[in-house]
Amino acid sequence: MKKLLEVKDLVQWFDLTTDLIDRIKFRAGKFTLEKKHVNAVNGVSFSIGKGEVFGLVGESGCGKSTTAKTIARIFEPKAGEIRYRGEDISKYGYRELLPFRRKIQMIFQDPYASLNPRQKLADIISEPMLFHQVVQDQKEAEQRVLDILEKVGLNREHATRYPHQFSGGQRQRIGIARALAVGPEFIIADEPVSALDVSIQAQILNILMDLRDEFQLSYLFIAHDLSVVKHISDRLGVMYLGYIVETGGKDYIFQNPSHPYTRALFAAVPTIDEEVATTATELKGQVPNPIDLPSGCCFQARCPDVRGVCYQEKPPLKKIDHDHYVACHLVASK
Amino acid sequence: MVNKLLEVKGLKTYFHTFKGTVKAVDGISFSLNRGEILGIVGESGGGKSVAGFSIMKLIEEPGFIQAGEIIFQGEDINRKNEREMKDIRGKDIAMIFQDPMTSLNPLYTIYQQLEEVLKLHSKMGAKARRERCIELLNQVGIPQPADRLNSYPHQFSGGMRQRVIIAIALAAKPKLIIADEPTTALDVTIQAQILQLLKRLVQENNSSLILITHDLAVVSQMVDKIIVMYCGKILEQGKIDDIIYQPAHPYTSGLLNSIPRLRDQKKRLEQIPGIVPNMFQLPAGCNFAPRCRCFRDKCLVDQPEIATIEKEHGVACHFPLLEVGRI
Repeated sequence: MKKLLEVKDLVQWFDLTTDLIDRIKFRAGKFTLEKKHVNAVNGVSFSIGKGEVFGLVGESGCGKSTTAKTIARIFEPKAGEIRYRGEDISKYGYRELLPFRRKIQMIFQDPYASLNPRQKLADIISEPMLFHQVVQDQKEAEQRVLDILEKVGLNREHATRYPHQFSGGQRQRIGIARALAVGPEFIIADEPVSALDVSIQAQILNILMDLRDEFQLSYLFIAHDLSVVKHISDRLGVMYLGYIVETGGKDYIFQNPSHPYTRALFAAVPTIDEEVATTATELKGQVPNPIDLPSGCCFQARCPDVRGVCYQEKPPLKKIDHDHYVACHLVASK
Repeated sequence: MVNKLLEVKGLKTYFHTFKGTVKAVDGISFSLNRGEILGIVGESGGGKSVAGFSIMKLIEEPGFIQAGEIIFQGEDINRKNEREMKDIRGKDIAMIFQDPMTSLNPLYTIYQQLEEVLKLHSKMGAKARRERCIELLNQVGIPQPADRLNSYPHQFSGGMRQRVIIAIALAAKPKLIIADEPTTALDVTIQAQILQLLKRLVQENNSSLILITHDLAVVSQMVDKIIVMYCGKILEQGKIDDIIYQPAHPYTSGLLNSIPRLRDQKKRLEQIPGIVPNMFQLPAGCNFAPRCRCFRDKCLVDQPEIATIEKEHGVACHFPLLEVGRI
């Protein structure tokens, strides 16, 4: 499969100390300037092929949304490469980025907050088309809006309504329609179904899958719900504290979860399938503070099998199977 | 019947607004035995939280408990006045709310908030209260409880705050705990911890628990009985295995099928078409008929009453699914 998007050693942090006073520290008899960072993404690498769905899972605060927003260049990457069709777009300026902005679209988690309440549906969807000049004029835009509405399961009468007149599920459909408007190749979906009821969640997941088949779309699909990710993805990455701890083909990971964190995550998921036995012990404690990262393995504080080496060395991602990589000292590479 | 702790009969809670009356809870009946865990599931707007609040008599205007009896330990809560309710709330019936970020008072320490329950509902002295508080925090798994007593809520993480709230709910050893979406705001690994904890503590104290949630998967691991609510009515109720493996109502079956499973590979999820109807304009017949995949003419005019199809398994449907092993 040809790679559409390749992310290499992506790093993102946020400066916490905007105040000069905060930064002045007295150390060893000297005043020094120090910076405090939230280390959100610490060298994340993965690739996504054409028509592929890559799922990114992890608990809140593990950096999955930041990774997505950095790829979409909503945040400037601090280091690393973002290759889209082989071209590194991580340092592109506004004008150079424009064609890529059209190709890479985003769907957001909160369907209530991500639509402008003062715009009619037709305007919400036609605005990106006109901006990116996908259509020649207003009239053509209107026609296209109607086509797209149909694709996401909304009626043409809806075009003149405002966002508050829609339910949560319908608003998420509008969000999808807006992303589709400019004919993207790659869609970043940041928790698109977490705010929805189960019956609506199934509707939205089905639409996303239908659209992928119809337009050969690729997705970066972010979710904290493992069963949703399992359902929709071809490959996935498990994130913890800004690192990818396990990645690979869906079947490899689900059949043989190898990182202790992945195993604990799988065990924690409530399920109505009784045969999924909870083999791993429940995870103690909570995610450590991303300001002071531990030296060594990121998972050391909660790992049930932690050893001496875990405190000293960061485990690299090792290949353990055809398409299965794990970052853990206790897993033997193949 | 000594064993029966709570019996709700024909409970109706309506909200009278300018736009019309919303029948948030419309004639629900169920009972709960001592030591039992009951799950109330349904989508948002189904009336499950209002049902929980009604049992605590925490309904505020424009809402009113219109009719029905809530018999708790042989007495009708609905007839009690506000002063009598104050003795019951926190002592006999305690509630755990969804949002651990907003249900603790940010201006008081954990100790003050825990101690309040004991001050109100026990005759313990100051020293005994302090010891009990430490014991409670220890029970809910907060490390170094003695040191954490004087912390403020903002010094705790979400999962830890929910533990504190559980400790407060358990403080007076209530006979019934109502937990309204206790883990919805938490991460999966933390959710697993909290659910385990809740189940263990309920069993240890021989309390009963009503677990209100939208997540059928959470419920299926925790509870003995389930109630499925939709638009203020109970559509199906019964033992956990009956509901999960032999759902008789098309809505229950639809909900179960729309959950992606970890263990099987389906290309498409089965979906329930449409959305929950507007509570101001409920359909004439069965509330679920407009979204039902097997509705017939009768469903559009005649509202089905809940009928028992098997021991303890009731369903409000004219044409219940009866095939065994549906899902």
